Amino acid sequence: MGLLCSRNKHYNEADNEENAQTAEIERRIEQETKAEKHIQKLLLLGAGESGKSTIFKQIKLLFQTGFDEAELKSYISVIHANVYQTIKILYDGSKELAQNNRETYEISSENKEIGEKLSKIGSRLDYPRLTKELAQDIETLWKDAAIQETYARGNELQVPDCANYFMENLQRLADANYIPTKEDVLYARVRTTGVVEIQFSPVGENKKSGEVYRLFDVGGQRNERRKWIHLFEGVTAVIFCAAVSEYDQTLFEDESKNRMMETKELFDWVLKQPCFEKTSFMLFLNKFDIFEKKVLNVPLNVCEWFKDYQPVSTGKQEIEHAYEFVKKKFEELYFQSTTPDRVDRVFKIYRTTALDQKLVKKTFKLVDETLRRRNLFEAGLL
Amino acid sequence: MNKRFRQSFMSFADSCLAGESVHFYEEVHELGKIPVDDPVRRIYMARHIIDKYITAGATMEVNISHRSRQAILTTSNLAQPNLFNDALNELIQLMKMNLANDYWSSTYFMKFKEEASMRSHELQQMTSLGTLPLPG
Repeated sequence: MGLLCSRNKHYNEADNEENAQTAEIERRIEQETKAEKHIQKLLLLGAGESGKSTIFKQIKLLFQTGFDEAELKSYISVIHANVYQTIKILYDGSKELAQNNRETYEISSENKEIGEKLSKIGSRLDYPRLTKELAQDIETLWKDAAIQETYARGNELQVPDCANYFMENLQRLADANYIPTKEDVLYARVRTTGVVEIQFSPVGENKKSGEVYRLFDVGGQRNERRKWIHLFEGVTAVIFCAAVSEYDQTLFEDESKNRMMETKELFDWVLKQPCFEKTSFMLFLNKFDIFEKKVLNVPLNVCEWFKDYQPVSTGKQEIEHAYEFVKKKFEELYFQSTTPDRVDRVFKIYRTTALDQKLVKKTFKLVDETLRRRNLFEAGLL
Repeated sequence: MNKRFRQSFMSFADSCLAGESVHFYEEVHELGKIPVDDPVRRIYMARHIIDKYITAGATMEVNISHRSRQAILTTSNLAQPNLFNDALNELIQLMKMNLANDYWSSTYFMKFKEEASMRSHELQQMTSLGTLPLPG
């Protein structure tokens, strides 16, 4: 005993210092936990190419410092890759389609050589910087009647949504001093893998800073979804993106599966997660810009989920009617997949075009208001 | 490419829940070291890679296109040297676009740099992700 005491005495000074350090660490952890409690956790979920990352980029633009020149420039290689990949998909696609219909899909003989060259570049690991000459070649091929016919069947070929936008801007993208615009960056397609997050606080016109949010973006393909569950704890709201324009397309990772059917099953699965009992759901019916162009040409009922759809009119009226039909389907699905003990969680549907900055700003303001009201309600103040 | 660098990059990718692409890359790299005249070992290794990374629902399934996956799953020759090339190509693009920029500013790279500066020749060897070579 005496021995123990004397030993203790020997270490006393060091111990005191250590204790103080431990206390300080504990105090900080407590402080951080308190601060963390304030932070609202938001998850962007949805199938592949539903627009999650575009919303994520918009939030960065709106509530963080935006993109500086270095960040804009880092998108040059992505955008050029989008161009090379698009033209390769279209050229290879037209060759395949031509096997059954030469008249429509056979590339004119003078463009075949260009096509072969570009297709080779497209399968390389490192793409060359887009020069004026290459841009000219791509433009020539893009304007080939067979490529345009192939593009009209883009829904069967995994052509990215940005295809037309970048093809219409080739000369600008090939400029030696090209710096991507904000719009170019929003259009740029990067398949997300893993998880990225940002923290932000939406500052309104009156400069009064509101809630602090931490927003998580994830990959949407099937293999990515097994990672989602790591994020499911303590979520304030899920922003679920569903691309309403994709009712006639198949999955990137499984071309035997319709994208809308996948989204239906995915939304159902997310809604039933035990962790989300009290989580608010913000459903973004996204890509309305593509939907409104498509729906007049491609009837909604090509998709099994919408097979009971009957068009009623033409033009703008028909677009609204079709959209309301889709919205109703999702609404029904929500209530079917929500057990009675969860009926008091918040559910809102928004019509969005993730590329449209004004619309996303407006939409996020509504989301923010809804969540703040919800907090007051939870605290018994409303 | 430098082994330490690859390990540092892999730890970073794992921390972003995007590690399976890098692990796949490593294993295909290992497959590339098995001589072509040893088809039995090649097939054994190829099967292992398919079960772990390619089959739908695999524990470390990678994010590749339907087309690339089907080409691998329906091949008649598991010993062929180009079996995983298309998949690898897609995944290298994916890594470049998702992970490269964030890696250069991560603590993982800082730590690697620090350690490598003690072995300066290695830092010189280390090149940008843009020159990730195809294994094999």
